[in-house]
Amino acid sequence: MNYLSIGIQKLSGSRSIPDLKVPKQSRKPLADSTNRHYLDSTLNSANNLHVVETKDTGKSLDETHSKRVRDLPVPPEIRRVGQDPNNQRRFTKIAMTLQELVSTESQYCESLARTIEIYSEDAMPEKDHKLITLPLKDVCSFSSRFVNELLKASSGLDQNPLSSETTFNALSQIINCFLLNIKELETTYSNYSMHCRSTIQYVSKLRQKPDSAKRLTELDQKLYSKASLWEIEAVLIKPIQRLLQYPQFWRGLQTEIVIWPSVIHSLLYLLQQLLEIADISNDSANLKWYQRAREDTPLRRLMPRSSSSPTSPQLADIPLHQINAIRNSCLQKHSLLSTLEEEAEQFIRVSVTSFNQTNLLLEKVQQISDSQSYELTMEDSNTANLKSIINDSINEFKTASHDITTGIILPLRHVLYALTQAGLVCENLRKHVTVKDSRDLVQKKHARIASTTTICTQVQNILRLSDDIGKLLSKRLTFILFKLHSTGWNNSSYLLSVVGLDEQENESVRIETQYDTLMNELNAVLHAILTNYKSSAVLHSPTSLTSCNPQVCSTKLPNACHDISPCASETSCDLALLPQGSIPEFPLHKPEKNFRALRRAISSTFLRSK
Amino acid sequence: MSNPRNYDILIKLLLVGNSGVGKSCLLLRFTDDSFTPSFITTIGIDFKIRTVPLDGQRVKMQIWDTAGQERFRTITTAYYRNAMGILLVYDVTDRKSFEDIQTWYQNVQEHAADDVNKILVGNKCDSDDARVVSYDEGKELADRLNIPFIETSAKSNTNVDEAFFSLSRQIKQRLVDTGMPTSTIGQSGLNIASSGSSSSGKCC
Repeated sequence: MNYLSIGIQKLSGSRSIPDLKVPKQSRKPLADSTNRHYLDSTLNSANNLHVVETKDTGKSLDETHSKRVRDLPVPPEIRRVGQDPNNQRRFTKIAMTLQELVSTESQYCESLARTIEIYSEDAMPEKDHKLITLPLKDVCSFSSRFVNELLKASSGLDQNPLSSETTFNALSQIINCFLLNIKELETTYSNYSMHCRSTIQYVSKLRQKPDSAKRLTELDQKLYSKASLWEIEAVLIKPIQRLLQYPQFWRGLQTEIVIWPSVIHSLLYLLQQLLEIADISNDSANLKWYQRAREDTPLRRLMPRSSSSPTSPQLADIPLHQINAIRNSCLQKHSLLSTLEEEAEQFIRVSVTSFNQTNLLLEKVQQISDSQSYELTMEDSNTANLKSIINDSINEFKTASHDITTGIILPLRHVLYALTQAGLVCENLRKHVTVKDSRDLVQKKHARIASTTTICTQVQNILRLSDDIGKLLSKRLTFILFKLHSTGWNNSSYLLSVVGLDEQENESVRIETQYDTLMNELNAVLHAILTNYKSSAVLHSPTSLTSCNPQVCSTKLPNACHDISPCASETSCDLALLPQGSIPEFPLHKPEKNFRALRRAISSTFLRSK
Repeated sequence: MSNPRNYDILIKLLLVGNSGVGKSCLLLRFTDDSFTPSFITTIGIDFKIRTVPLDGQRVKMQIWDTAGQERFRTITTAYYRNAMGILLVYDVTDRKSFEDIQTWYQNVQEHAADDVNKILVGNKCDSDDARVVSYDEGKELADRLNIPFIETSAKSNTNVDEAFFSLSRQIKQRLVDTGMPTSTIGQSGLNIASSGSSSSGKCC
């Protein structure tokens, strides 16, 4: 059994122990389990008295409580504070406030109970009776349990003089009492807030009917004489008053509790919870009213008259169903915009990365262009052209890169800003359009949303454009690399690594591999021809090399050679006459050129040899 | 609480204004003749009662305070119902509280009965050194809103009774003017405002 359940059992008697699920989602600070941990840790650290566990011994709760208070060790912090004579005034003030909290809770609970009782005794129509007293019953039921717990928690406060230990004990136990009931407090009061206004309106309507009015006046007199209460409307406001008084109590104590810093944490947490409950109740009242409003309710009735945002007469006449339509539309757009916003953020991240990579690439290409390694050693008539092409490509790349980056990043930033703004506006609208928004604002938001949609379209166009530019650049780069490679420039692999584009690299490697394979095949063919000259008649044949004797050259002639065009048929080959080591070297050209060169080389060799 | 028959007229009043302007201090000064600058043990009260002789009649004032609850305007609009008189309070040392009077006035117009009497009260007028809202400014605003104006100090007990008496007189006069026999006001006073208040739903 942990501390919290002990506390609950002690305070709530035989009542079943509620599960402590303090916050719902709207209560931001911590998740349920975290809250439990938070409560445990803060309260335990605040009050070592609480960490002592007691087994269920079957003793009465009061007895257990007294024994615990008597037996528990006093934390040094409490002793130290208690030794300061100046703190006696604080103890008195804290005790008075706590006592007032408990006594007024008791009075409040009693007044609700008396009201319900008086109304139950009356022979008023059942519908009226239910509508007026039913909301009060829930609050009364909760309050009666709550006040019992508070009374037990504050039992030591009537001592005189008050000791530091007693005051501290009562204080921490009352805080604990609130925290343990916080969920139920929220449910009870938010439900009540939803019904309070309509109940008061209903009573007001009843008062306008002669019979009902007479009955209510009699009931008011009974309330006054039996319970010292004013009219029923005043009783109906009481729960609202009470809910809003709780934070006031604790806020008032805040300055006095500074002598026990460890309790302050618990108190602040409690205060925050209570204020949130008040907020939730306030929202519940709004929501209930809005839900109950007639479909043809004009906007003027849904909005407060405010000096800051006056409602024009025309706009104020919008019926509720149109507001609902606008609201639903905005909610949908908000959802869409949220998605778009996420996508835009992600794209901007990618774009920024691409931008950086592009800049890096640009720098490296520029370095290559400026370096000596770029000077082609081969005397080729196309060198100048190649250089020109490369330079043009680099310039084109620079321009395109700049266009891409500025063309994408800047609009995207604008888009993100617009999306964020629209998202915020829509979020705000989602919260407040129910009752607080004005048509003017809605129109402005629509305009913003429309503007955002336009910008999104523009971005999509930019993206398509950038994609096209990217593809073009990729092709261009591949072409340049191929050109370089075909000229025998040895740094192509370096350039490929600089470019770092996998597809281009793979393509280049593929071409290179094919080229190497072909060259090897050609060399193999040549070698086979040279080594098997005497026994091979095939070279004299005008037919294709595919007719060569497999037994002779199957291992030497790869299958790929079958696609090679035959040598010049009119040439008679006699390679055996060639001197050793005179096998011609083939220049590094494009494969098809090499084939022709091979043929020329073989022919000339044979011609020379003859 | 006293016997219901010990008064001739029952008047329900409400104090509104920003937090910290001194509404509760005014209330305590008027009903208990006390002033505690840092009280915390009076939060539990629902309202305060004071019965005073006014122009030969016993007027019972039931004064409601919305201390610290200004933030939750939707649920506190219930206070406005049945209120016969409203004191719009600002702090002469706090300009924001003065500027927000306009909003409070709009709230009153929105949620209270149409014929509710109002008075503008500039509290803490004893703090001359810290004053940021002049008397003339207060008066000008009151004239613009077409309501009476008075400066008070709960601390020095200046004009506190006058503020409440002035408002009560207006209400009493209105009730007389509208033909409500004062002898019955005490019994039906609770219903006067409800019959005059709008039953249509309004929210903030």
